[in-house]
Amino acid sequence: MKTKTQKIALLGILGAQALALSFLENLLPAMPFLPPGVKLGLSNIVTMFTAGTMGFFPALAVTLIKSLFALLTRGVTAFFMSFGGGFLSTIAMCLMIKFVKEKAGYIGIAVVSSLSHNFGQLIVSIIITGTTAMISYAPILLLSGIVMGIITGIILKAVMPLLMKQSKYFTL
Amino acid sequence: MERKLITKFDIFLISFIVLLTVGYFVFRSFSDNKAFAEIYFDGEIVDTVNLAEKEEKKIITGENSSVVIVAKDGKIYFEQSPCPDKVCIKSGKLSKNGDFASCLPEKVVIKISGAEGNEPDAIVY
Amino acid sequence: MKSNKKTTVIVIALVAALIIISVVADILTKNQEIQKTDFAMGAVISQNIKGKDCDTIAEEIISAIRERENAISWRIESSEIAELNENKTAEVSGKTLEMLKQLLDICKNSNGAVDLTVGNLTGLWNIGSENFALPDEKEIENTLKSVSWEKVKIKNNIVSISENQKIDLGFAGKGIACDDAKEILKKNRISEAIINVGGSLCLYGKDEFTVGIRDPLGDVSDYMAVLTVGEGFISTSGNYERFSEYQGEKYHHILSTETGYPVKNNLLSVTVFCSSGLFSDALSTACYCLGYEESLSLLEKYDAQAVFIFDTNEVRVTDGLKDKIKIENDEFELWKEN
Repeated sequence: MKTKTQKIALLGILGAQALALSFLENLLPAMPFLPPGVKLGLSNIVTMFTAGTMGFFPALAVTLIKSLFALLTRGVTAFFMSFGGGFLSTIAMCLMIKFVKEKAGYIGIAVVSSLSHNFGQLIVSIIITGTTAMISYAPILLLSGIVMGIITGIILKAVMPLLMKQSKYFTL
Repeated sequence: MERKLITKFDIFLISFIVLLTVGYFVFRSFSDNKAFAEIYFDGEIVDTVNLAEKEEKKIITGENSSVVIVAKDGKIYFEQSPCPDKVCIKSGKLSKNGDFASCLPEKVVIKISGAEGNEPDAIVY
Repeated sequence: MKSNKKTTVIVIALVAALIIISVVADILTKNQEIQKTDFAMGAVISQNIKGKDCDTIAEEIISAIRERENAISWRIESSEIAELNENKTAEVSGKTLEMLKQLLDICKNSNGAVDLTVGNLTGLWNIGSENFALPDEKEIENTLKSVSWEKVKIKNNIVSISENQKIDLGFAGKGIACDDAKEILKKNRISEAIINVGGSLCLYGKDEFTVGIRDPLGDVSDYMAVLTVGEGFISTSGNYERFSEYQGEKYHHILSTETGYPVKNNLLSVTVFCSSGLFSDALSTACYCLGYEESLSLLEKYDAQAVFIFDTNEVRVTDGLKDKIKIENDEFELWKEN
C-alpha cells in the first residue's frame, strides 16, 4: 500500500511523462495523409496506466496537469480543448476498466479512450465556436480514433512492464 | 492491470465502429441535401456550387482575384476578403435555402437556392 | 505476458485495414475543387478544377497564360509579336514558332479566310473602341492589300513579315491559352477541369461535358442549346461578341479578309469543337467568314465539329454532333434536311 506522499510523487512523475510524450509527439512531422487535428495521443498511454493502476482521480489529475500545461503554453482555448478531451476520455477508460474488466484488451481500452478523447474535443470546439459545422468531422475522428487507439494500445502493452517497475520504486 | 493485448470484445467493438463509419460515408454519398450556392461577381453569376458535393471547393473571385470563398461540408462562406469591414466573413457559414451573404466593396454575393435548374457545365461564347 | 500468433495477425490485419480506410477517407475529403477567376489576355479567365493541389495548378495555369500573352500580344511592347510588328523581323522562341506554324497552316487551309497578318486592318477599324468612326473606304482598300499570310517567312527561328504588315492573333489567342492550360492539366493529378478563356473552353477529364451555346440574340448568360461533348476544346465566333455602332449601323469585330469590312452573311455565330484550342478558336472565325457550305471541308481537315446558327434562327450541325445537341430555346430550330 502506497502512502499519500508516495502517490503524489508518483503522480508527479507520471504527469511529467505525459507532458514529455505530448511534447515528443509535437516534434513528429505532420503526416501527410492525416486530416488536420488528428494526433496520435501518446500521452494517453500514461493516463491509461494511471487509471488502471491507481484509479479515476489520479488519472484525472494527470489529465489536469496536461491541460494546465496547455493553458500555460498555448492559452485558454487549448486548455479547454485538452481538458474536454482528457476528461471524457478518463471517464470512458475508467468505466471500461470497472465494468468490462478483463474482457477488454489493451487495444479495446485505448480505442475507447482515444475515441472519447476526440469526441470530448469535438464537443468543446462546438461550444467554443457556437456552430455545429464540426459535426461533419465526426467520421474522420472515429476512424482516426480507432487507428490511434490501436497504436497506443500496442505501445501501452509494450511499455507496461517498465511502467510497473517504475511505480514499484514508490512502494517501500 | 494485467490483460490481453486484444480480445474478442475489442474486435467486436472496433468492427462495430468501423461499420458505423463506413455506413455513414455510404449514406452521405447517396443523400443529397439539394442546396446550391450561386456566386455572383459584379452582378453576373460566376459559379454554382452543389453544396452536397463531397469535395471542398474554393472560389477565388473579386476585383483583384482576392476574395476567397470556401464550400465545404454542405456549407459555404467567405474565407478571405481585402475589404475593410469584413462583414462578409462575419456573415458566417451559409447552408440553408435563402441564406445570403455579400461583400459589397468587392461586388461579390453568395446566395443559396434550392434547385440548380439543370445548368450546363459551361457556356461557350 | 502471453502473446500468441493469432492475435498478432489479427492486430496487423486490423491496422492495415484501418490505414486503408483512412487513406480512402482522405481521398474522399481532401480531393479539392477550385473556381478561380482572373483577368488576362483582355478577357475573364475562369477555371474550374477538381483534383489534388488544384489551387497551385490554377495559379500555374494563369501564369502560363500570362507568359503566353507576354510573348504573343501585339499590345505588349516587349512581346515577340510586337517586336516582329515593329522591326518586321524577329527571332522568336520555339513555342511561338510552333504556334505561328500552326496558324499559317490554318491560314493556308482556309484560303486566307483567317489571316494572321490582319493587324493593320483590325487596327484601322479598332472595333469596340470608345470613339469609333467608320474608316475611309480607300483606306480600307489600301490596308487590305497588306493582309497576306503568304508573305510571312520563317527561317529557322527567324520570322519576317513585309514592310506594311502587322500580325494580330486575336482570332486564335484565347484558344492558344486553352492549349497552354491543357498542357499543365496533363502534367498534374487532375480529375476534372473546365478552363474558360473569354468564352473559349478547354474541357478536360470527363467523357461528358454539357456545354451551353450562347444565345446570339440573348444576354451574356443565356444559352440556346446544350451540346454534350467529351474532352476537347470549344470556341464560338459570333457577331454579338464585340461591335461598335456608328450612325445607327452596327459593325462587329469579325472582319472579312476579302472585303475589308465586317463579314456580312446569314450567320449569327459558329461554334467549333475539336482537339486543339488554337484550331477550335481559329476555325470558329474561319467558318464564320466562310459560311456553312464552304466550311465543311475545312472542318473535316481538322477533324472538327461545328454548330452554325443562322439569322433565320435555324441551327445546322455537322454530322458528329447531330445527336449531341439539344435545343433549349424554342425560338431556334434544327435545320431539317429536305
